[in-house]
Amino acid sequence: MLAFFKKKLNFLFVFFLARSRTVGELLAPTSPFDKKCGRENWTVAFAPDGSYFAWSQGHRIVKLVPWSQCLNNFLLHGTKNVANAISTRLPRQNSDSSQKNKPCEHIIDCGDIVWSLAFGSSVPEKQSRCVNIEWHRFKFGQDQLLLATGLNNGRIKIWDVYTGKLLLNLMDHTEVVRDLTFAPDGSLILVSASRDKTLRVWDLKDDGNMMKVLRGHQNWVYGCAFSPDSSILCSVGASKAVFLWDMDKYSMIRKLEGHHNDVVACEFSPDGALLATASYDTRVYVWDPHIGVILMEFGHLFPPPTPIFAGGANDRWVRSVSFSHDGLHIASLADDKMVRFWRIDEEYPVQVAPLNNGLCCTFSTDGSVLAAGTQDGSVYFWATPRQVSSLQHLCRMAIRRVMPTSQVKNLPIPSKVVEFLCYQI
Amino acid sequence: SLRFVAESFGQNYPEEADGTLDCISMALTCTFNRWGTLLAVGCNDGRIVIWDFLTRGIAKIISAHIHPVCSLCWSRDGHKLVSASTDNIVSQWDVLSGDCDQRFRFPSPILKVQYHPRDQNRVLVCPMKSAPVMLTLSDSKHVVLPVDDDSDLNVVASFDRRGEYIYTGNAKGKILVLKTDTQDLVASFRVTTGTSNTTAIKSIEFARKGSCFLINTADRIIRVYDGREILTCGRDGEPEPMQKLQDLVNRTPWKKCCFSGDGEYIVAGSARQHALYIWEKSIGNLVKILHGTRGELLLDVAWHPVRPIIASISSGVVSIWAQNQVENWSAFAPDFKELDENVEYEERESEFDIEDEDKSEPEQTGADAAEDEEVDVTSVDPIAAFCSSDEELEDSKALLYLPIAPEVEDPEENPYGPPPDAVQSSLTDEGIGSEKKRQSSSDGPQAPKKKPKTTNIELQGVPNDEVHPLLGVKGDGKSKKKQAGRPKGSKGKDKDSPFKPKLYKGDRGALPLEGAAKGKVQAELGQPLTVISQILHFLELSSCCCGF
Repeated sequence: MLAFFKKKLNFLFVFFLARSRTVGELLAPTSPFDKKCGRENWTVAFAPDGSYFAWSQGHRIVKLVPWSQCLNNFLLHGTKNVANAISTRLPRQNSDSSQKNKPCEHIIDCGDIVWSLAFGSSVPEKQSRCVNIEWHRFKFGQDQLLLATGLNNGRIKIWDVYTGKLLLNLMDHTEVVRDLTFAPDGSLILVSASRDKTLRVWDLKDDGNMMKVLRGHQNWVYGCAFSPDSSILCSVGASKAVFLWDMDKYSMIRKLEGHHNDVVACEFSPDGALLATASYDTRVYVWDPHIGVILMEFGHLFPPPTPIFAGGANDRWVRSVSFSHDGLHIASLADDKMVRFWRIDEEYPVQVAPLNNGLCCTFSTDGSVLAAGTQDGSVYFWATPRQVSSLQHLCRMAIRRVMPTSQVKNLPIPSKVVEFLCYQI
Repeated sequence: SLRFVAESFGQNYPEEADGTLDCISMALTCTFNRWGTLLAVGCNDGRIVIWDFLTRGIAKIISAHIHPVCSLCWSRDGHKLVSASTDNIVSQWDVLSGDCDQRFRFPSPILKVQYHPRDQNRVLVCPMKSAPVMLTLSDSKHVVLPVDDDSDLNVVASFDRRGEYIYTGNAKGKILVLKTDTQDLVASFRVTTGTSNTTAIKSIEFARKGSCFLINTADRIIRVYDGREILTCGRDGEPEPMQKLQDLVNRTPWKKCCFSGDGEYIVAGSARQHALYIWEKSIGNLVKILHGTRGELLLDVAWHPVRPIIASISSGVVSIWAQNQVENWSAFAPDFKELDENVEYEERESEFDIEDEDKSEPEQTGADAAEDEEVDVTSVDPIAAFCSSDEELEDSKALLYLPIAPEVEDPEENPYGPPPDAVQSSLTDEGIGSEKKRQSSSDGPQAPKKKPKTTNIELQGVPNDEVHPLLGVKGDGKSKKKQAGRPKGSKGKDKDSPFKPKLYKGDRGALPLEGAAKGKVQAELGQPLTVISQILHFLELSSCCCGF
């Protein structure tokens, strides 16, 4: 990365950081006598092909918003947009559900408070290696797009996005299903993480058959994420837990130690070489998951809290972290009412945005927009700081997609290049 | 007139190690310019490093190729270098500017490139498994030289001392002598070993003075001939070698042989160990064996054109062999006499008198007489050692030294303005004078560099999957690592301080390509590189150029 792009910011000037450009907002409809709880937007999710955005409005309603239309509306009508302003066409009137020329909006009533959302597609993501290619039964014109919703009572409901119909109801968890994630290789393997201290692996192509229960957590499991090549699953939970699981043998690879408080969110980088975890100890750590070392640390409190203070309530809990698709930027959301954009090679945020009561954030499929959900059920969108990746970084990602750290270290190349490839520079 | 002390050019041979030239890149081949003032070293990262031999410092680095540089040759006027790399490309470089003048792509790897000794428009190229080719640089044309046996295309070739003839040798020991301008065959003979067994010719080397040349053959014997006798014998002649040199004890095969500057001595580098054997040509006796670091293998040997100094390359490092330096204080003051033991000195009575009353008539013949004489300080005698026997004057436009710029901290700033026109220094006064002209290092607003012309040379019947022998080197994994040790034979004197080789400052990001396994990436050169290898290659190169 050329020195021209590097900007070292002194932490005193953190107040003068560039503010992110707001793209839009989706404000939840409120009525005067609304209950205070039950409105939270615990998860935001984008469809893998970027066609839809799932908006958990609270009160058990999930709205499937056609994303490109939504963006257009933001541009045309200004950034503030109330939910009702989007043209709605009720799904029942649209009988030919296989036509997906124009994604249309659906409103789904899940029947219980929605804690987690995940889109699953039978088409493998472009960047992921098709490991389990034999499972992919692609029928022309019928590639499936599913939305899984994890509910308060431990049930998982699977919906067809194009029609809005309920496909499956998975009942096994006994507690809140806090996070859901699909394998990116198109095999429609779903992993659910629950407060009942277990993770469960479901095969949705096999009618939702539960394949495995992953036990190991001693406390609530807060989040889970697949690596881009679908070989490793990361699960994070209370009591500082960060676990890595081998998804071919369903065994635990290792535990990553380092956080001082509950770990609540995790995500892999697009090349699978980095793992970002967010914790209530005010920190986001970026790990090398292959060897289990911490490469970078992003703090949300200055000076950093001592371990005792970090182990409890400290008003600066980091709620969510997300990796941008260029492999260079991370977004974090913390209780200090700020959303921060970081570059993985810089200590201080590149941009910030104010956000009250934020709970979750995720980048859009093309990485251009960051969506964050709040306690009152609204969603806010910002433009991500865009930068042309250096050719060296693109090369690094191309190599790391296929090579784990141990293999990189054995390459016959100068040590400086090895360090660069292992993200140690 | 001022006379340059020519005695310092008294030819002899080196006796001990005299330091190394060490730079970031691993050296593969080296060659002196015509006067021995500059040494060009081709490295395995594609660079040509030009060392100023007097100060043992780097004068210039040319990033010539992407692949290792396997052969180099200086032009007669010292302005141009022709280089060959293992990816079959031959390029001509302008030494002062570092620009590539022209490029030729051959179908197979290049074993040797050589300028015509008197006409730097013509270059002799020896590709693998091919007849030798003579290139004409001005019109990018080429001529394929005739061979003796079309089935045997393992041919090496060399110009003779003046470039009148080209000598070629093949794997069956047949030597052809061709007239350079017409390629007519004027003489030929076959090298036989024992009773009419043939042996392959590995190289032909000519002396810089005289008409002798040597042939290094696969039977481990170095045969020394006189060129005049070869021409007299004509076609299918049977000339007898003047000398046959070999190591009877160890049956050492020879990696590289060459003559001393005056042609009186021959040095041969062993292909088995780091040892240099020196024979006296006229008598044929072995006069010296120079031993280098154990375990290393020699890649190249070059004898300085005028001084008794040899440069040898092993393990990526250039070792210098020179004569024992004896401190001679009488060089500083004429009245100074060195004593071996204390001497009782009897002083004259008037030794310390301010005015000598006893002195007789003042001597007029001594110093005063010399004062009146006109002293010619301007005319310069040509230095005999630098002139060829058929030349009287030195070439006034020759390039002997390279200007070295001061190291500027921030190359973006250019306080001196755009660099002036290239300065040439020839040997003016006492020789080690003002040869270093300071120039600003940075490039001011420059005209955009012309893209060098690239010509593809098509040769019939030449396989295009050959790998250069340098790349196929396996088994000496130990020798690939650069060793810090000094070659044996050094008397332990600390030679480092005056001759410490400068590390070129621009190399901040560059690193040696370590590991014997590096050969693995290079060995794939015959086939197209995989995508991963190409990406890694790009990362390596870009990290050298601009860091991360």
